[in-house]
Amino acid sequence: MKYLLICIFTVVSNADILLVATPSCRFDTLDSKMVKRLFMKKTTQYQGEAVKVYDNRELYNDFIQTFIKKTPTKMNIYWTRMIFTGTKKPPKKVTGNDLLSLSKESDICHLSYTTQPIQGWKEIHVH
Amino acid sequence: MKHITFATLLSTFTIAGMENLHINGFGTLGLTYQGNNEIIYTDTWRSDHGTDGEISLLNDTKFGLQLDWQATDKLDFTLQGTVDSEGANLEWANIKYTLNDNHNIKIGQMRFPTAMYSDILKVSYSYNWVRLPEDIYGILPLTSYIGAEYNYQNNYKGMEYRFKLYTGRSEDTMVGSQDVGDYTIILEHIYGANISLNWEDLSIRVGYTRTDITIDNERVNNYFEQAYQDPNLSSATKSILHSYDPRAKDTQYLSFGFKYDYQALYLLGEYVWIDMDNIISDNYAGYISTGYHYGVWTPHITYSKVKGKSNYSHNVEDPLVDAALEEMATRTQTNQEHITLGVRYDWKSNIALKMQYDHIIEGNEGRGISIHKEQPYDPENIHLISLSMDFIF
Repeated sequence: MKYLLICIFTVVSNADILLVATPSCRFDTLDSKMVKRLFMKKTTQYQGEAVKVYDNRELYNDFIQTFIKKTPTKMNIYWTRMIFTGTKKPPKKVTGNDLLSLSKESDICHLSYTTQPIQGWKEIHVH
Repeated sequence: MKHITFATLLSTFTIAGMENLHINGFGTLGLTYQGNNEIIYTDTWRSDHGTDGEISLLNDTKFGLQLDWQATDKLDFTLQGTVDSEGANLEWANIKYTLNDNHNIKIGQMRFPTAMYSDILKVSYSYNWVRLPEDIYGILPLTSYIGAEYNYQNNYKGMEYRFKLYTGRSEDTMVGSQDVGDYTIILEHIYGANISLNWEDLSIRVGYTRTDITIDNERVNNYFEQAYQDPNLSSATKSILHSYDPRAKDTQYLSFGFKYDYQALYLLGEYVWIDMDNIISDNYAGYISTGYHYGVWTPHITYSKVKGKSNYSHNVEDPLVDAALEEMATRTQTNQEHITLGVRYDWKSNIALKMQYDHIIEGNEGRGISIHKEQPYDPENIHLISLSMDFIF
C-alpha cells in the first residue's frame, strides 16, 4: 500500500498540468503573466469577462511552482499578507469532483487546472 | 500529505452553511533572553515588558484572530483582534466597498500603513525576522487609526502599481517612566499617501503621512501651563516655550522601502524620517537586510540604525527651564545601532521556526529603545537571543 501511494504521488508530482475553463469563458488562450495575475487574484477579469479561479487541492504545489513561479512558502507568505490586511482571500480549493459539478454553472467563467481533460471543461492554451 | 497547504487549511475554517464567513488566525510562541538584569529589552517604546536577565515569553508571544464576512460581491467586513503582553487589542474593524478590480474604499479601524510592514506588524509568519526591525517599527507612535482609506491598483506593461490615500484619527495611552507617568498620544487630522510599484522582482514603496500630534501628560502639561503663567518669564521665553509644547503640533513621516529578489537571494531596505514640530526629537531610521532561500531554510542578516536629532536649541534664558527642556528633548532622542543574524525554517506549510541573535549598541546622544532600570542613563551593548514558532491557520 505504501509503495502504491508513493507511485501515485510520483505520477501526480511529475504530471503535466492543464489549464482548464468552463465553456462559458470566451477565451481559449492566456499568456503566462495573465495566469499568474488571475490566480494571485490581482485581477478577477480577462478582456472584460469576470473569471472565477479555483485551486486544485491535489496539484496546488506543482501548479504554483510551474505557473506562478513561486515556492509554496513564498505563496503562503503572499496570501498571509493579503488575508490579514483584509485585502483578499486565496482562490477556493477544490477537488476533481468539484470541478465536474462547477461545469453545470454554465453562465459563469470558471478557471482551474488538472492533469486530465475534464468532461464539460475546455483546455486553455498558455503562451 | 505534501499537498496539504495553507490554502487548504484555510478552507476548513469557513463555517458550514456560511461560505462567505471566514475565520483565520495567527500567533507566535517566542522566547527571548538577554543577560543584563538592569535592562528590560523591549522592541518598542510602546511597551515596558520583556527579558531583563531571564528568559521571557513577553517580547514576542502573541495570538490573533480574524473574522471576515463577504456580505456581497462588493461589500466585506473585517474584524481582527490580538492578545499579547500589552493586553487585548483591536487591530482591524472595517467595512470594505470594492468598486471593481482597481478601486476600493475602507471605512473603520485600520492599521497605520506608515512603513512597508506596518499593516502586518504582528503577523510574524509573514516575514523572516523574529520581529520587525525595532529601529523603525519600534519608534512609530501608534499602530492603528480610525478613518477612511482609498486604494487604487492597476498595471502598465507588466508593472503593477498601487496607490493608497488615507485620513483619520488615533489615540492610545502609553506607560511612562515612574517620574513622568503615563501619557496619551493623540493623532488628529491624519492625512497620508503611499505608492507602491512592483516590476518583475523589484518592489518599491514610498509613503508620506502628516498629522497633528498631542502628547498628553499631566506632568508635562502642568509644566507648560505654569511656565505660561509665570510672571518672571519674559514673553519671548514664553513664545519659545510654546514652540516646544508637545500639544497639537505638526508631525510628518516620510518612508522609502524596496525589496529585490534575485533568484533565491533577496535584498530589502527601508528608511523612515520622522519630523516633529515640538520638543520631541526628530528621528531618522533605516535598515538594510539580505537573505537566501535555501529550500526550507532562510538565513538572513540585517543592519539597522536609528538616530534622533534634538529639536531643542537652548534658546531659553531661564536655567531651570533650559534644564527641563533639555531633559525632555534627550529622553525622546532615540539613538542605537543594531545587527541581526537569524534563520527561518519552514517546518510545515503554516508553521515557521526562527532563531535570531541581535546585537544592539546604544548611542551616547539620546537613548536606546530598551528600558534602563538604573538612572542616570548609561548606554549599553545588548546581546539578545530569540527563538520563536510562528503559525497561521
